[in-house]
Amino acid sequence: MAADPVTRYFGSGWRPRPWTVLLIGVGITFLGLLLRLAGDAVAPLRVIALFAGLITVGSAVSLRLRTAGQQFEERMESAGVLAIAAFAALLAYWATDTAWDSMTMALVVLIVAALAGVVLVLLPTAIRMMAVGVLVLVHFGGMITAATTIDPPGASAPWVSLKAWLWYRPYLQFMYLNNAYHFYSPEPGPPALIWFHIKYKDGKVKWVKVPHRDDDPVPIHHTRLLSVTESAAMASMQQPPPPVWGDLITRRTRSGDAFDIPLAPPNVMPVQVQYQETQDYSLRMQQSYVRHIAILNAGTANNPIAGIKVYRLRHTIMGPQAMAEGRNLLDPTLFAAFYQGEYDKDGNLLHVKDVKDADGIQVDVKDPFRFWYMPIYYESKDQINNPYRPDMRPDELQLVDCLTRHAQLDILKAPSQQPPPDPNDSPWEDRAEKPQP
Amino acid sequence: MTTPLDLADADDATAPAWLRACFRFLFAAVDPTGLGFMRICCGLLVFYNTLVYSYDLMSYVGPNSWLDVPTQNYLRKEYPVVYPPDNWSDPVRVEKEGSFLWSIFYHVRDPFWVVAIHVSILIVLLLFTAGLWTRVTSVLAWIGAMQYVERVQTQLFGQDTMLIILLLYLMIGNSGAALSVDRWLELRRERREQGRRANLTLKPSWSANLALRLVQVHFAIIYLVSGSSKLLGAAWWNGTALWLCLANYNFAPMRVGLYDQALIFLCNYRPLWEICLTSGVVFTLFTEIGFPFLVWGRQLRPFMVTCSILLHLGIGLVMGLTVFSLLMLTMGLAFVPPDVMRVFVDDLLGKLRGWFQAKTAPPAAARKDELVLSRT
Repeated sequence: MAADPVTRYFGSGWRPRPWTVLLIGVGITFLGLLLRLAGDAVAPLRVIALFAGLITVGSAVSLRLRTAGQQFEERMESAGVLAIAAFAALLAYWATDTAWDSMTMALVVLIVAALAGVVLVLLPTAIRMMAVGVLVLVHFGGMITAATTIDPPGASAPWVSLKAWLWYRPYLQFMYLNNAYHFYSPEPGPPALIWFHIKYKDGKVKWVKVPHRDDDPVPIHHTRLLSVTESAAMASMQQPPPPVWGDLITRRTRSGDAFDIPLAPPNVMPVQVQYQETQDYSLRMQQSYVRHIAILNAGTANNPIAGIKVYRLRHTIMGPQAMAEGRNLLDPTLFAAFYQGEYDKDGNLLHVKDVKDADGIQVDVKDPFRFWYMPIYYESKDQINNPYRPDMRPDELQLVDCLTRHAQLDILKAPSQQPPPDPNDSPWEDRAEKPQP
Repeated sequence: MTTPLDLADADDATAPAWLRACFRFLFAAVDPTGLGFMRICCGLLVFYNTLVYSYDLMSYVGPNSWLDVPTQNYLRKEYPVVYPPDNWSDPVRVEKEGSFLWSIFYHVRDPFWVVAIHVSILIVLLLFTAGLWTRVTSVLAWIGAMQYVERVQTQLFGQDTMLIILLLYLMIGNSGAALSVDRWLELRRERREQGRRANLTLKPSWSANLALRLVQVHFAIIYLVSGSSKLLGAAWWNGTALWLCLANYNFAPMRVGLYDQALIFLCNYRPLWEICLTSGVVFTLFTEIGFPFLVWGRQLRPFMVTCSILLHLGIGLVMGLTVFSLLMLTMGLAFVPPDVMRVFVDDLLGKLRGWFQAKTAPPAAARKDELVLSRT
């Protein structure tokens, strides 16, 4: 039988020796360090050399630990291999640009891990097992900490967990073991969506909905986009302090009356929860997502983006009675939309400050609708003689769609100067996302 | 080290019984076949998960991705950390300290190199799945997977968590000791060097046991936390929580006619609706809260593992979280005793071998011709 290629090339007795492989690895890593002197022109080569060097060193450690015995001399030699591996990681650390700070952090962890390995290997078996046992306990202590740092409803997390989190945070974040495992608790909620209303300089508009099942054929991609929107949807349910709240509701009511975007009736949503201020973290995420969406839908040089209005939505899960009645799963009233502000293509908020005219007179253009619910509900076609009842027939109802009205609104123009409603500018009919009949 | 640990060193009579029991729990050598099977399952799932990033790679890890550079810097360097006070009077202190996030995709922004790194990681994952140089590729697979999860912080969900947990423990245990190219190379070398005297039996591995135990304990913690945190929610008490999962348009297969019709049918009969959903909630809570306590006994273990399988099949089918469910099922394999796992895998391999031989064997007519030709 013909010898296989490996045997033909290396001979039947060939076995890579850990020390040889280790020295080759250190040499390649050192080459990476030398390449740093050559500047950024060979940066990719340097990174490749560092990776190759560290992988080779890791292979040497693996080879050594696979064959090493438990006698003290053997353990000493294994410790030596690990110590040199730590040195190779140190070389890589020196060779890495400070701008690559997350990689230097990983290399520091590698050095510490290798040095910890030196200590572990030198320990007698029983003590080593105890040490590993302690590490296992510390590790799972981190899992318990991550799980208990989530605030329960209406209360704060245990002080002990919050303190332990400070200690565990580097480990858990570095290892991505910081999930709290509170899946679908306290209870499954409606998914968050983000809708972008892009307006171009020539007046043309485009709705971009994230996520959108027609655009996301890969299920994992769709679920990842749901995480994107969830990160941008954290809002405070607390009402602002009375003076601020008074100002907010006055401005909202006045502007609502002027632009025909009323507050929702109490049976649709209590007024106290119609204002939901988005948390700072989510606002930052929204800005990033606006920039991303702006790049994907940039328009042309002559017709750039004029503004992007952002809406945070919750797609309410239909109740069993409505489903039994055959209601549409995508009925507009199932979407609770909260306006997040209008941004430019660089993610800067527009209309952020009140503007004064040339005479220094206050012109109230500070966005009065920001963080407010854009009501979408059915009302009776004949409100006076036949007011709304939940059991009304569809032909007796008409849709009040303040989301579409608001999207078409130009806040810088007076009510009388607003453009006429554009039937093509609607979030409900742009694409054929429809459930089975 | 894969060198057998001498448990006798630690198992002497002077050590307390609880300590010896702990040592046996963590370090007793077991057949590594189960861990090898978990490696293959996990490797395939992680490969698929990583491959899906290719669908919109630059939106995930490119410079103008969902998380662009300023936002990355915010998360890495300015993300607030809350310090609870040590007394009753001080307010909570918040410091902008950032997070311990690390990924090469924070630094590599050239699309060519982004794609090159992505392809390299996919290759490493294939090698890991096949079990080639597993001790090295398992570490590289974990590092590779971490490059994405540490970079796409706002695009993660439970699946990524499970994936990293599994890769971590498969890296600790000798997951390439069985069902791997490494094992095949080892056998070939043994046969070549020892001939008929070659000892081809699979050696038990203490690191395989350690990895399996870590997966078991972690799995139990996940279930306990997930189940007990659900008890805070009204919908889990009144039995409607499952409906909120089943009728979620963005997760559930609501656009599949049969599924939609089944839900409508259920809704038309309230007692049926109530009984089905309450039963589902009770089953979920029983499985998640009961599992960490009941799975350790030999008698109840098959029952609890079956409950877990049913739970995750349900999640996979109706919530669109197929890969997440498959990862959880892979983790659940850690509870199957190593000898049972060995029998199952041997049986599976036997069937595969038989199927392969049947597929590759020439048809009867051709074999007849061969015989005739050989005789002549």
